[in-house]
Amino acid sequence: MGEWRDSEVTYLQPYRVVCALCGQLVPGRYWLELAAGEQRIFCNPDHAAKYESYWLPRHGQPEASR
Amino acid sequence: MALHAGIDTGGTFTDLVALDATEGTLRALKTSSRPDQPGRAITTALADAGIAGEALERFTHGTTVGTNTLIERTGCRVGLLTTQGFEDTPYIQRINRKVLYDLSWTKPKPLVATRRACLGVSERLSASGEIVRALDEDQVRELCAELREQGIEAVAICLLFSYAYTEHEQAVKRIVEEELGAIPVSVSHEVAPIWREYERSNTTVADAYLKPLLRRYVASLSDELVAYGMTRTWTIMKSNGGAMLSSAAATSPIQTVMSGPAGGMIAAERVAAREGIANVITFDMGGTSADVGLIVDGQQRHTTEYEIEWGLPASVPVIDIKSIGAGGGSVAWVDRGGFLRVGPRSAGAQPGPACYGRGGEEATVTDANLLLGRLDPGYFLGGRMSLEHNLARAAIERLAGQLDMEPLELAASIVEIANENTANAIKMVSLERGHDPRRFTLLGFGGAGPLHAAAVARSLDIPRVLIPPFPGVFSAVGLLLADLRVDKIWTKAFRSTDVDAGEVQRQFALIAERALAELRQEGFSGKPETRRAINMRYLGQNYEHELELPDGEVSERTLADAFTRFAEMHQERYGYAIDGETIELVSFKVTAIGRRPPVRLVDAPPEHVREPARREVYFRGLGFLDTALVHRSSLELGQVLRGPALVQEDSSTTLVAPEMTVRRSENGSLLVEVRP
Amino acid sequence: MTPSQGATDAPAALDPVTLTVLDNYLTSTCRDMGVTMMTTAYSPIFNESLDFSCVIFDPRGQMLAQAEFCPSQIGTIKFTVEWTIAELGLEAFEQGDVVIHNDPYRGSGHVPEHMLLRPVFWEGELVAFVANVAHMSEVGAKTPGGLSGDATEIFQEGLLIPPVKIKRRGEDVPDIWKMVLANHRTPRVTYGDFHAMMASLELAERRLHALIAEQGLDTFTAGGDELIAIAERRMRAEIEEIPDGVYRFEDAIEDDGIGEGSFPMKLELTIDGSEVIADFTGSARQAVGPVNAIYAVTASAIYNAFLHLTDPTIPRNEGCYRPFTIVAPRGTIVNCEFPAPVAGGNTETSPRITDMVFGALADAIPERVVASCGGTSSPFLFGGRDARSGEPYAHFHFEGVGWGGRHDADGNDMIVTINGNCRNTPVEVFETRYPAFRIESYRLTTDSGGPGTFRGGLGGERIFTVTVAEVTVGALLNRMRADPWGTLGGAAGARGGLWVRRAGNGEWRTFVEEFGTASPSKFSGVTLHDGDQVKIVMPGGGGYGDPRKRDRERVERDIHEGFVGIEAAREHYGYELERDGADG
Repeated sequence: MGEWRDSEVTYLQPYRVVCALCGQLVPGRYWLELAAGEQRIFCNPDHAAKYESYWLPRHGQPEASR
Repeated sequence: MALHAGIDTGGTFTDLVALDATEGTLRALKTSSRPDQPGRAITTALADAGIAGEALERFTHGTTVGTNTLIERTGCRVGLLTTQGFEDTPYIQRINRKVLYDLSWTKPKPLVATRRACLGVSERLSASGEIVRALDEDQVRELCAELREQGIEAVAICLLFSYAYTEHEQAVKRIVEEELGAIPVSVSHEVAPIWREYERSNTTVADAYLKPLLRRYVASLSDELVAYGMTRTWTIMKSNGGAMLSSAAATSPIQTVMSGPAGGMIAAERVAAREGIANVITFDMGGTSADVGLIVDGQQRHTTEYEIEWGLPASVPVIDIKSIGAGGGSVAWVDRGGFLRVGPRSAGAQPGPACYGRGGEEATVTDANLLLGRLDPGYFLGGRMSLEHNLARAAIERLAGQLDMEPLELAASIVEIANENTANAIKMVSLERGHDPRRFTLLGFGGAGPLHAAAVARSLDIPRVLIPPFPGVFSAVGLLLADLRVDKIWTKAFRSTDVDAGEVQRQFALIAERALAELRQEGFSGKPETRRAINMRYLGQNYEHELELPDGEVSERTLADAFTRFAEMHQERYGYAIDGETIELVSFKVTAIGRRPPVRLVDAPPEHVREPARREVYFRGLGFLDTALVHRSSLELGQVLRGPALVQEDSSTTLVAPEMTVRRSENGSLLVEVRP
Repeated sequence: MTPSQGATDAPAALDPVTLTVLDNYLTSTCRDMGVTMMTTAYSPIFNESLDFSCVIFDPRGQMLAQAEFCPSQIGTIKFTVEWTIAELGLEAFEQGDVVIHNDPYRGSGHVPEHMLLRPVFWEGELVAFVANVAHMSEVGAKTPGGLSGDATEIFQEGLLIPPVKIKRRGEDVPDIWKMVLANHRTPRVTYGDFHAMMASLELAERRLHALIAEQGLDTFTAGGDELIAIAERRMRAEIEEIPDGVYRFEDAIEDDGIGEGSFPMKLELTIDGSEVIADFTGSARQAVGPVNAIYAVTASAIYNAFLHLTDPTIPRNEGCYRPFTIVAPRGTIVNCEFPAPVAGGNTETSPRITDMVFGALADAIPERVVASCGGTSSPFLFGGRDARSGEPYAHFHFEGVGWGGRHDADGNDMIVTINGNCRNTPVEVFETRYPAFRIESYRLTTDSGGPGTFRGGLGGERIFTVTVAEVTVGALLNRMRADPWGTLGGAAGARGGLWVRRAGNGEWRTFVEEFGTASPSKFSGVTLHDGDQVKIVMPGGGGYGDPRKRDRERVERDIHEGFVGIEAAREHYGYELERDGADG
């Protein structure tokens, strides 16, 4: 089970939050869920589900995330 | 007896309206067109109306022959002479596509004979008129030989920057005439002196494309009229709403592209003026399409952005009319997503709506109207044609089954969607030009216009609808009323910071003189009116607005006033003006008008008056309502009738919905108050 | 509670007529917004080429309607608006505000495209957003005209504007205006263009107010939701018609302007019932130069492909996009990371991605796909100072390409590539506005269409001559080294390219040969002088199907019109062989 989190808008550092499935920059709210042994950031619960059902079977366990 | 006749030949019907100039009476007649023998249809109509050729003092013709030739691609083989390096302009076009997301779309086929018939002339002028490459006359002669060899039937000439600098085009024209003799030639600076080479050359090619045919058409109609006993010259309606001598139409055929609908706008302008209404939206709904136009401050709007089909412009002055596929014959259908759609395809005259009983099986707007009780099956075209209620019902029921809807609800929906399509077209026409439709009166005419006008007005929040006398043959009425009119344009760019009022004055005088000469050639002998206008924009903008100038010498002062008015106009239309911004003057226009004496329109005695009656008419949400059915001529002057009501006449029926009222004006128009 | 449960007590379904009317009204409002922009804007890319789009959103950032102007913008604006709302929050919007935004790393497509967004209120409640996005011809990049072919960071591509208010409660925010105008080379043009965009937003607001006054807020809100649901349902039904499977296609961007190349793009397309997953895993790392696509651009290119493959009458709103998941690993050419440059991603990489979908699905739905189009906008940038007025000028010039052959028809000649729908700038307008060049010729190129049963459309060629003492030029073209591919047995169309001929020198050479640029097709800041010439060649479209199966009549007509020369007809279509055979 995951949860919605709010990301702070900051102009002080260039790092930006990215969805673990699709790679999209996630503005504002994001979905945090445990997937493949790690808390990962997703656009929404649907992308978390597709990470399990599509991404992992196809591409395998990711290397340690940044 | 001095008779004036206007005859409007359309694809389906030939409409005749004749005025007895001594008695002041009008008569009208609708007969079938004969595309194979248009002249014969006209003399037949005259004979049917009891008009002898000798009695015809004046005859004006509105025709769709030019438009149809362009649409059906039955014109001649045109060769194009253009600046070397730009031979492919007709094929390249503007490189955009009509709609997104449609891989099946194909670019419009150019009107030139083939790509090989587009030949480059060795010459070049710069944007400011300097000669970059001198014209090679010998080379032009070689190109002429090639065109002759290719069997070209007409030549179009369009060189870069010729809208402003005409010398090279004039020289090429002279050579072509020397070399190719009788082959018709169209030259871009004469046909359409506007900038943008593709638009100008396409217009010129279209003119050439029509020339041989229009020459034959005019000649054969003249012969037919002479044989019928008419001795006078006659005129053809131009797209700009003025009439021109028939011989002029043969030399400048592209001017006839909107000849048909232009008549309706002329008549609309007159009726509006007589009713004292300044701002009118015209709504001319016939069998296959609806034409929408604007009258602002008592004047028709003109444009040079007419398109033969999407992507093929004919940039000549035309009355600004938008046509959409919403007519009585428009077919209702279900799209792949289950949405109900109406038009743009039409059942036309053959097979026509299901209720015509000519084998049509698809439900049309006319079928829907019949089912809703809005048409009287026994009194269509004043009783000259009857409609089959059962066939209309069957067609609507078939479609209703597909949609799982009640047939009556479906019929009401068909009418509503047709009305909504029209309303959207009206929004385009009005808002695109910065006008709020709610400040207008809707003028409904054409066979089906009066039936739909009030509902269209209601959906646009237009408070009032006007139905003129003779609504079903209104375009022919306009032919009787048309003035002679010549538009001349001079294109040269100036900036407001650096404009020579003296030069502007001289050029205005020069083109005014040309316009007046042309007016005289077209047979006008009275005192002409002239109007002058400048097209201007903020420097950097690409689209201009026309500002009329007052009479008198053009001075620094006149121009300064015009700039102030431009800023005010911009503020009003777009919500902002840019202080201190340079204004660019783009083109200068003179319109010369030869007024014809006014005609008083009085309702004709109907052919078959019916006694007032009642019938059941369906309205959504209200069901069938007991509705008054009256003949137009039996409405007393000033009498107010409450809706629901149907007002019938020979060529049309006006629907007045519940909570609306209708009355007859002193001038014979019907005024429907949409929200009394 | 999940977010979707919020809208439970929706009113009863609206009837189809009301929905049709609503959809038409919203779409025609978007179109009217466009007309206002066209009539009042300043830059030719805007008012002559119509490189802009107009859109209506609901307060949740869902697209309700769009006018059909520019496909790539319509795909990306959805991301731009979402980001704006997410960053500012709904409570930040007030009546009369206008937000400006062009930062690709905050959801925009590329730097020249500026979005203006206006909230629409009804009786104090935020009920919609109206927005437009337009390509500004000058944005203060390292070289004039916005697209710097050799940029290595986004900072060289122009002034970045995060979502900020340029109007607050109906009043201009002068500080923002000053910041922007001080950073653009042609501030007067920027000023005129922004005002045109704002006028269009005000028109849209008035139109929505009229709609809500007439139909009621409930109908507007419920109708909007229902139109989105209908669009989604219909899009899913269309996808279900495509056979399930995993389809692959590969293409590559030939170079990045810095000298590196090529950059393969790998697409794995999974069609599973009504769902589509477009997965770019395995594509090249992001480039140093400006050929990278930002995520929004890649997603937009995929949407664009499917909108071309499905029923064009589906209402164009948020629902169309829901069936798609686009997987684009960060740090790749299809989803680059800050601060990589992105200008060419939107103009160049985008159409290539769209074509890749057609390539992938060629065997699955052969009657619906097309061969590759020329796939480049041929961006040619220039700027300088007008000797007559002393005013600076800058221009982004682009060209059409041949389109790919189809299952039943040849490709169109010279049309703007599939991610745009701009018009060309007429020669007479171009030379009047930009006296730096005279155009010597603008032609179709015979034989440039890829041979096929249905051949590709023709590309073309344009030659410019410099007519001023000096002008700065740049370029960001593609398909100079890679073919516009044919499909299902069709052959490739002709490549495009860019050449220069110095005054007094008779030879056409590449910019690499003449100026030592790293790439022949992507560079900036080259100075040309009076009499120098530039030649842009626009690629043709790929052919569809085996050329030997082409109708003899079509081959003959092509020869007659001059679209195909007799030599090429012999070589590709076996033209004379067949006749000799018949005669013998």
